[in-house]
Amino acid sequence: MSLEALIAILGMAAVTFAIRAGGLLLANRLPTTGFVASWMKHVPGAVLAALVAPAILAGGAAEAIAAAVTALIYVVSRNLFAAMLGGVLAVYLARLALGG
Amino acid sequence: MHAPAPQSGSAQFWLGIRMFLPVAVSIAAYGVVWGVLAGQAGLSVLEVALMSGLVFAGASQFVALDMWTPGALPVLSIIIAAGIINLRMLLMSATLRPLVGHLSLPRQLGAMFFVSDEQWAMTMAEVRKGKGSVAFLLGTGALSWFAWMGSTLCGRVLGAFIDDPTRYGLDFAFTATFLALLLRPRAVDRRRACRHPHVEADRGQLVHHRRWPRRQLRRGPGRNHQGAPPCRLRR
Repeated sequence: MSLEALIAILGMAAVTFAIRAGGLLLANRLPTTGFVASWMKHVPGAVLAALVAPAILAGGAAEAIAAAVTALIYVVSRNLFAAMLGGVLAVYLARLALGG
Repeated sequence: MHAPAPQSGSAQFWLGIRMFLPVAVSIAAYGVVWGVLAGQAGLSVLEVALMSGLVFAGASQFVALDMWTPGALPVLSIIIAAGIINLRMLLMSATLRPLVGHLSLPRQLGAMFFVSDEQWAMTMAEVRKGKGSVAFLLGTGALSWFAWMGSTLCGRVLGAFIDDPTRYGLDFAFTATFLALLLRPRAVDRRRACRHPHVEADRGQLVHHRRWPRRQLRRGPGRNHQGAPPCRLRR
């Protein structure tokens, strides 16, 4: 294992634990309403959207179809694993069908 | 202080494990996915074990894989991204303070290590019913840790046998997982959606949490004083 990988992992662990511990220690001072609170709630979603969008937009028709299938399965089943499997299967079949 | 749990610590611990089992199965399912993707991103088995064991936060680990380029790792960016993704846990662990408040500080912090979306949601659902305890929190936490650790390692080992992931559409697993995570109702939003007394009446002063489990007990487990239905754990 490289030193940079070790530093990255330990850094992630330290930051994540600091957040978990920080919530407890700052419990009385954290804003639960207003801009900061909603920013904290919505930022992970925004980051995920930023990661998903290029992969779907840069892909072809197969990726677009599979994305729609994934979203549909997840909304109906609320099961992450089913959505992932369905998405993978859809992209596999769509690529076969479209010859991509 | 919260109301005394009706059961002994070890009974609560095992109750947590039993109740969390179905959730742990679904955690393990995407743990396997993460492990396979980690192998593709170039993480070794040891790196997988270290990251799953110490970071123990799925969404941020998925994002880290997306940024993982061995040889020229954007170390600082990866750490900052993990911080941003996990910032939501600040609000989650804050709500657990009444539950762990009577413990010594090192023990309180130790219990916080396990805070994760599903485990927090289930523990808070128990607290709302006037149940829930530190032992319950630790039971669900321990199971969720072992499920995540075991499944990510399995995925990493199994993934080594898949030579060309794009042939089976496995390269899309990333996008599909992120897309589903994006559509997931967020834990903190779920809390708000239940209209708890402390959010509505106390305008977010979390210190008032201390009172409400007891209040809830007196009122019975069915409905809170706003007439909102009790929360159910949704996945």
